[in-house]
Amino acid sequence: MKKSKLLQKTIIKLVEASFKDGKMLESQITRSIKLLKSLPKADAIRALSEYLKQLKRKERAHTMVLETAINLSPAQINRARKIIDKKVKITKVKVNINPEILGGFRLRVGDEVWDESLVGKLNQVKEVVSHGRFDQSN
Amino acid sequence: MADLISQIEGEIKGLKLKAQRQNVGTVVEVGDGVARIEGLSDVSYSELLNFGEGISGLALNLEQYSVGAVIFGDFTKIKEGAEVKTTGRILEVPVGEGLIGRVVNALGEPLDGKGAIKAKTHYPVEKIASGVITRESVNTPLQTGIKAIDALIPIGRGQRELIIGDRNTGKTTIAVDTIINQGNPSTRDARSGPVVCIYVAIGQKTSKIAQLVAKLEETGAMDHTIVVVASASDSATMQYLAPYAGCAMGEYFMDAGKDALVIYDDLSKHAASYRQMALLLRRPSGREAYPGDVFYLHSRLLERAAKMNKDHGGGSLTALPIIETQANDVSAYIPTNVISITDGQIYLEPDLFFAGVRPALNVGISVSRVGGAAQTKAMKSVAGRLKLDLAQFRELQAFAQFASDLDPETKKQIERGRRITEVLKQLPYSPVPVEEQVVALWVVTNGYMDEVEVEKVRDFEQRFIQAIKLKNKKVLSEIASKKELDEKMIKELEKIVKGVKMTKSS
Repeated sequence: MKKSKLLQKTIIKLVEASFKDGKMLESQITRSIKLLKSLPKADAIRALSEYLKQLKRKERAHTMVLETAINLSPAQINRARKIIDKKVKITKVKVNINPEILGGFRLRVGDEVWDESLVGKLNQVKEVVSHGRFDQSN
Repeated sequence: MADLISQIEGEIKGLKLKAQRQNVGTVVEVGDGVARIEGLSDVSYSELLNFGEGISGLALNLEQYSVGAVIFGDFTKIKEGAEVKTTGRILEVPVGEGLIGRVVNALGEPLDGKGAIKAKTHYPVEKIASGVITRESVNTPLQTGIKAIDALIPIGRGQRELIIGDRNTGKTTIAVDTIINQGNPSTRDARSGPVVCIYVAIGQKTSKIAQLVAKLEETGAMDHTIVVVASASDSATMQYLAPYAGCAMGEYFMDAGKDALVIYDDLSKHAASYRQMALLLRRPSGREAYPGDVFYLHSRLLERAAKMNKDHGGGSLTALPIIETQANDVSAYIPTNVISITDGQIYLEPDLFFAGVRPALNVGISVSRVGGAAQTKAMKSVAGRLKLDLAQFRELQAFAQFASDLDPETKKQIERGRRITEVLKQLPYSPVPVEEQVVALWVVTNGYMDEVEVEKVRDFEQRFIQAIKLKNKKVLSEIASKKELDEKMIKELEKIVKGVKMTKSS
């Protein structure tokens, strides 16, 4: 139990060290992987899988995913990025075209989603009509 | 139709739509009504989650990077990788008058096919119990209609009295009798009407629940009753939630200054369903594989039963939890927990049940710690003597089995005890009004039945009550209204009992 807790703490430290200003440091990641590989095989597998999971999680927290119904111009994307940059350091931007949201956009950074889509608004109306209240606390 | 459309249009018109900020997560594992979700960094404990497709869940395990949640509804529709949203709400159930006479599930959804529930108010399922400042001590009796209970183990409004016993000893019957008795005119409160009863069925067979609802309908008790059902075929989550939902429904009436009674049938199965949930959520297990907070599970539920003081409406919520023991073992984990939480227990014994003593109450072990204060003067005047006579009878009965020669005084006490036991016997689903209980107990404790054969005691009791109703009905109504037994009434009763005895001998 103690050993696994120690390993968990080490992984968290390694993940923290693998990022600088929200950007991944490749050299640091290579070093961390080498270090974890040197552990006994069973521990190494578990530690590497956990390390990669946490790397992805950390990366996601600095990635902006913009979902729109139509193509956006680079200037529009940059404007959205600048707004979010004030709250969270954005290092990566992904744009998804999803006609199912009908109009507007959905923006996701880490676990946070800002829904300004037409589908989202229709859902709000649906919620008010069927239950007399919003599903979300805004 | 046009009205409906204009109403909807009106609702939409006043609506201000704005961008929604949501905290989301991704399902990484789902099965057995439990899901593990990654993300949801802002989720709170016990927050309602939205899985989409009308399925909701409850966040119960908050870990560093993931959340363990229980799912309400069909979990097979949830796929790995599905998006889960927080709602910022805690679980609520509809409450109010619209629920009376209805059979609902743990989420307050109707199960009786009588249409949608008309409820304007919702109450949170989990709520902190009212504090000491808002309460007052128990002072009003809750009449069960069962002679042995109302006389020897009185229950007060706002009390928590445990009904404990093996399977098939009549635990549910006591609860149902109590519900039926609340419709009795002498039990009704002129101010607030009958006590609103909430029967919560946890992990029971659907057929048994259907029988019970039919019985309540037959006796007209459904007019003041709500039945909350989480049957054996429902998920452990629903079984876990049902008592809290029932309690929330009762609290509404308490807050409105009325009296409510909630019956949890039974908390052993509730604990088992919580154990199942906890094990699936991979919480560490303790004694008998129950999680460490199984005591808190029941204590926070039963603490919500209260008698509010006048400044806070004066309402009350009485709780009658039921515990099923295995082979009479009251010292098992869950029974001892609930015994220590409640204000007394009614212990039902299989040996007495099979000996024909029904309700099979063991009056020696059963206690009511606070109900005595709520007993009426009339009942107190007959119950004091009854307790003494029964205690002496129990002591002598064991001794008399070995001794053939007994002095007349001992013989008399044993014979009196036998007659009292006989009077305390009662048929199921036939609660007795309190004034009839008082006169029946008065006649036996004052020795008027000493010469009646044991087999004919119940017949004599019936004839005596019939005679009062025929000759002087006022005595009964006076006992019910004045709640005491004065000299004048006693004289009248003596006259009637002598008449009944004469009829018998002639």
